[in-house]
Amino acid sequence: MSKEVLQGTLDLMVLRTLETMGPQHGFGLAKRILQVSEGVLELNQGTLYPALLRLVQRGWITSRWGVSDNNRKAKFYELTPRGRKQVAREVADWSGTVALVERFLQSPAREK
Amino acid sequence: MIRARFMHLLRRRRLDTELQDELRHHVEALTAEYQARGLSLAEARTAALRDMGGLAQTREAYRDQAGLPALEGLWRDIRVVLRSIRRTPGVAMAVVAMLAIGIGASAGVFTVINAVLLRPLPYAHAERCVTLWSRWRDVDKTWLSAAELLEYGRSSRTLEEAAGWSLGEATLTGHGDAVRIRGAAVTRNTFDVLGASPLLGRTFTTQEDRPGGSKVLVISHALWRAQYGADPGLVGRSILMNGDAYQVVGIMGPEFRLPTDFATDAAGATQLWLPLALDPVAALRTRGDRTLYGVARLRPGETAASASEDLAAMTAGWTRAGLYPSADRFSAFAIDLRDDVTGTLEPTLVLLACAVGFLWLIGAANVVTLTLVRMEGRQRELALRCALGASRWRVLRLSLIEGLLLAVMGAFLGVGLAAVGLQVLFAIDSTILLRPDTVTLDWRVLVAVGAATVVTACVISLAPAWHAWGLNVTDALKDAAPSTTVGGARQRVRFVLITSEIALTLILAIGAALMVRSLGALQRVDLGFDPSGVFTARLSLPEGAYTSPDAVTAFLDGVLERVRGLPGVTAAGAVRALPLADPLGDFSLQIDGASEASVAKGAWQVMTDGAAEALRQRLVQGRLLGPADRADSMPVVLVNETMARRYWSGRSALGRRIRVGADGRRPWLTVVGVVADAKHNGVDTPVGEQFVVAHRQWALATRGQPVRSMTLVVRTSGDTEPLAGAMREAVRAIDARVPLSDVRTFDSVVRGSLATPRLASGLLSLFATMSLLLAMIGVYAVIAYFVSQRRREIGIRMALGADRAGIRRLVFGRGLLVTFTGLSAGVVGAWFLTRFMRGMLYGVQPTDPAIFIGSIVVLAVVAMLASYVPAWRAARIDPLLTLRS
Repeated sequence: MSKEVLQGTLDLMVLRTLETMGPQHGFGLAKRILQVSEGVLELNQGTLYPALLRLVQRGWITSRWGVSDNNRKAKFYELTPRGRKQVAREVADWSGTVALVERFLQSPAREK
Repeated sequence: MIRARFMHLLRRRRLDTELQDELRHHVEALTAEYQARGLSLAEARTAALRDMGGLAQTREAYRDQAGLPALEGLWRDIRVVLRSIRRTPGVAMAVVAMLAIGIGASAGVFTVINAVLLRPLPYAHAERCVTLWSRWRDVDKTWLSAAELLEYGRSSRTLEEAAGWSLGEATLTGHGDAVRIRGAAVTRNTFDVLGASPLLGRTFTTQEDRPGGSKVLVISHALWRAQYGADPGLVGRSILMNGDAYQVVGIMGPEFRLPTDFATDAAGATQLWLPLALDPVAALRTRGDRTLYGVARLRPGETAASASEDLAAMTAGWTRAGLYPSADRFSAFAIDLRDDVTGTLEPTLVLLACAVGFLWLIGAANVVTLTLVRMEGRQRELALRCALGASRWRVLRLSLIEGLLLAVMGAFLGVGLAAVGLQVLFAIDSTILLRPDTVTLDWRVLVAVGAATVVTACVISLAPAWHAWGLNVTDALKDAAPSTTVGGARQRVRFVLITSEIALTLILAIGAALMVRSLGALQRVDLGFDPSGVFTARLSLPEGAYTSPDAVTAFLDGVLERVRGLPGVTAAGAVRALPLADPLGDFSLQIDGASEASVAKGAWQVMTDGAAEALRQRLVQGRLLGPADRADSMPVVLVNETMARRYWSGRSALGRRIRVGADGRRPWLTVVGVVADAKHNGVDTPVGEQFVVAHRQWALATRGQPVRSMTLVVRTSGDTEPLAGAMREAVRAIDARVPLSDVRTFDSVVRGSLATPRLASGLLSLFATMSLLLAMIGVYAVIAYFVSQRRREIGIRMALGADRAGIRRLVFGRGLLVTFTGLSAGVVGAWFLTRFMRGMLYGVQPTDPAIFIGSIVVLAVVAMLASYVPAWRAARIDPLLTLRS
């Protein structure tokens, strides 16, 4: 698998992570995405922040300042109701796409 | 989404610090994690930063996400341009000043044009209206007689309806002080034909507009407000006019005025209107009495030209039928209403528009030159930008932004200049333009200025941008080294610009000189009278209180006797129509001894004794009117030289007799004197036949009414200032009900009649001076720049033995070449263009050689001075210093 983040998938990863783990700060999100991808994804952790801002601008997530586990000021992101719907929609889209591609991959090769 | 981005754009500074905090937190957390895995602090930090990727890139990406990159790019460009402007503030200021002059002058003239030519007339169907005029053997444009007007309205093929009016004055009493105002007697349909309806009440009915109809009035909005406090209850009530009660039936809207009220020399617009009440039967007997203005609505599909043909055919038919003597060559014509209202000013305004256009072009050429010079200085910067990857589009954009920025600054300053300039103009002379109240900067002017600004911006930035477009980066970076001279193509552009500037300036200068000469000629015209030291005031007697000619005579005699007794007064009298203020119309005449068929005519003037003396009219033969010419003495008349020549050619006019009008029962008037021709309807209007009847004898001569409205003319050897009060006093002592109006010096009347040529010559001179200044700056700048670019070359030449005089010749030669090429082009241009001014010139030919030569000499001297200074400086270049640097 390519180590580059597929265009558009970062959004889904972020949204999905927030859905499963609740409010997170940027560092937590980056760590979690790395964990889940089991090191396959070499995320340039800085690229996460413009993506977060984009999601905020779209109204899918909101941010607020809070205190992290190690007692530091950090910005926490969480899903908005619209964001939740978006996750559902994107997951469905993605599953659909995957299923479609799957079908092509699993059809037997034509016999000679 | 865009909105969110825009909000973020506004809050970008806070967003920036927040991101800073966020990233710091991330790095610290990551560092802590690496430390926990056993790395040292420094190692952990390095590893954390590596994982984060480039922080600068992150911030950049974040910022792009936060704002609107295109908008910010624009802002960045504007800041670049502002920086570059700030680096050379002198040049930028010069550019803005030149643009302000060009745009300001254009805005000022356009404001006037807008007010006079573009703003619609206050009539519903102005485009379907024409004015009607008569033409005679030697009168190009004169009034209509009642019979003609009625006939045009009744049986013209091209006119739907014709209306007419005559101007007069009235005294309103019973509401505070008596006021004297102008009014008009109008045919019932005048308002309909013009397409104007009253604000309140109604206009006249057919019953009211006939002889013996009821006494009714329609008044103007201004009068309604000033005199009656805008009381809506006024409609239906009666007011006292000339001592009689008239019922006000309607009030017109604030916009309404008669077409004649637009004329420049009218001291005021008409404020009230009453029915003209033409008598169709009596009209047939007085075909020669032309006192009416006519306006008509065209039938659909007809034009002023087709109506003129129609009227000419009608009048030709009348002449064939024997109603008019064929020798008179009587005809009639129609003029488009708008053309007629603005006709006298239009050529002047077109001329001024061309002049400001030239001024603007000269300013723009100067600015392009300066910008090119600046661009040359920034050659290296531009090349560097291109080399570092700036697109040509980006460079073009920078140039356009710079142009727009400068043009906008120039436009703001220019509009300010225009506003102030117009105020100053009106403060200097309020008679200079009709209706100064309507000359305002409205949206049309602002749109025009905006358009001019954009065009200016494009003009001044496209040349440099085009220049940058073809820029070869490598060459430019090399060329920018100060060791070489600038390429020939760019030099040529500048020299072509400056040559055109000189050509345009010469055309402007010649145009201005022609107008100034023409004005001078107009001011030197022998008027036939001497206006200096004469004071005038109009007075009018109420008809009800002064019914008999004797009462009018007694009043005037009394007033004049008192006025003549005032200190400093050397002569005093009264005239019916003041020269250059109240136009004279023609009266038909009978000449004793001439055949019945040849109906004569002449402009009719009425004077008291003493008036000709006060005006210093020259007596050619016989005597002037005297106190002995009374109602019971022999009726006499004075004629002017033209009239004497026309009707008694070759022989003395003294003792000959004429009769006023066609009525055979009127008495013969004996010619007792011939006076020199005097201007009356305009300084540049040819004088026709004119006769003067003694005021005391007028009622007798016409078997009609005495003239109740007269203008006092008082010659004084002293100060005119205290005279106004003394004259009022004299009138009040005899009858306090009689108001005095238009109290002014005769000089101011004469000045007012020359308002248009004065406006034209004044503004043209101003524009020509400005353009001369601009051209001088332009020549200086180009030659000086030529020198600065060639410093090194000049240094080498000198090091190789060229002497200072030779260097001076080299540079000065450049200036001479440019100057004379420009002057030659300018002479050719002026030769072709000034012919269009012919109609506006008086007493000077459009190709007057003295003016051409004078203007060329002045411009040549100025241009040579402007190029001599840099030449002189070039010759003082120290070769050692230049070569070493």
